[in-house]
Amino acid sequence: MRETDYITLELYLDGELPEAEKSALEQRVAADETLAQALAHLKQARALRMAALQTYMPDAIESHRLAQQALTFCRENQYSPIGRILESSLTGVWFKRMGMAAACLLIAAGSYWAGRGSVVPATQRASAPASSSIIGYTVQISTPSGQVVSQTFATYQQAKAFAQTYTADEQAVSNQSTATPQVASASNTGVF
Amino acid sequence: MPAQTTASRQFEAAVHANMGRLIALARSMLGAQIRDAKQAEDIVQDALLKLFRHCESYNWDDGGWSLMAKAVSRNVISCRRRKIGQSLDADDGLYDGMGKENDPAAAPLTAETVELVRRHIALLPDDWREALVLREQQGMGYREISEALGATESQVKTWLHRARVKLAKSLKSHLEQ
Repeated sequence: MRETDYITLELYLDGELPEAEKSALEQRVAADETLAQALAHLKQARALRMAALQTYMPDAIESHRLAQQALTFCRENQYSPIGRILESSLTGVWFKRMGMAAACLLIAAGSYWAGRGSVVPATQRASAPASSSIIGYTVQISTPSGQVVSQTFATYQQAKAFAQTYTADEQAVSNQSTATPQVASASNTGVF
Repeated sequence: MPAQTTASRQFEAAVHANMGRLIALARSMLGAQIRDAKQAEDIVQDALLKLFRHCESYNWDDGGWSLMAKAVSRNVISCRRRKIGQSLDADDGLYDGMGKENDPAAAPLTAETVELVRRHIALLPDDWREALVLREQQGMGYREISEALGATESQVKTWLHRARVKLAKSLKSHLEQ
């Protein structure tokens, strides 16, 4: 038998075949022994599946107990969404969600406090910071002529070397030492 | 405690009348996951609580079965979707050896055969099993099933067909052993 015949027979048994096709199929089944046997087998298979699914049904005593339990649960939790969250079947999911939210809050709070702790006043002498969050060092130098020189380096040492060299050059040119280089980063600001 | 309204009395009667079928529906739809025996009961309980909270706005005159069955199936589906989906490649070699002579329906309806069929239904991919249960146990139409499962009607048709073919095939290989 062809695959399409099986599909048509299934549609017929599911009651999903249009009326015209249904009549045509019934005529074919009446005339074709093979098709009639296939239909009978499909009906038997269906009965077998129904019998199998029926075994999931609890007995009368268990059903009554579960009904009482469900009704008590409904009455107790009718006005208590929190109680429901804690006691419902989906408890695991809610706990996971709450746990994830709490973890996010902790991480955010931790990051905030870590960031606060690494801030150094600008008047303090700068030292090479150990923070891994620094992505670069910007040197800003105010010259006696009012010009501001700003340059960014990948490492603290490079920034410091640039600042010292620039200051030395400025002093050599103008014989003044008013240029004050500063190095700044995301978490560290200081004076050389 | 507030006085019982007509709707809440009808709700209670509906719970008593339909509890067994609701549990059977949840267990059938959960299939392989039934190893957690309490899960079906919890899912039904949760669905009933949702209905109870709004029981005044529903019509319980028809006994409430279809309302409750829909709520339970929705809960099973949403519960399942929170988990990792199953592969749909379960139909490898699905059509091998299909034919009248291979139809396991000819097997006698013994308790052992029924248990075997139940085990195979439980092992079907979730979508296939849910479509099968909603169609054959609940008598839902394709459109209704497609709405419940969030799929197209042709997908539902395909799942049902594949589920049936796979069941026939697995049962046949078992019976041959």
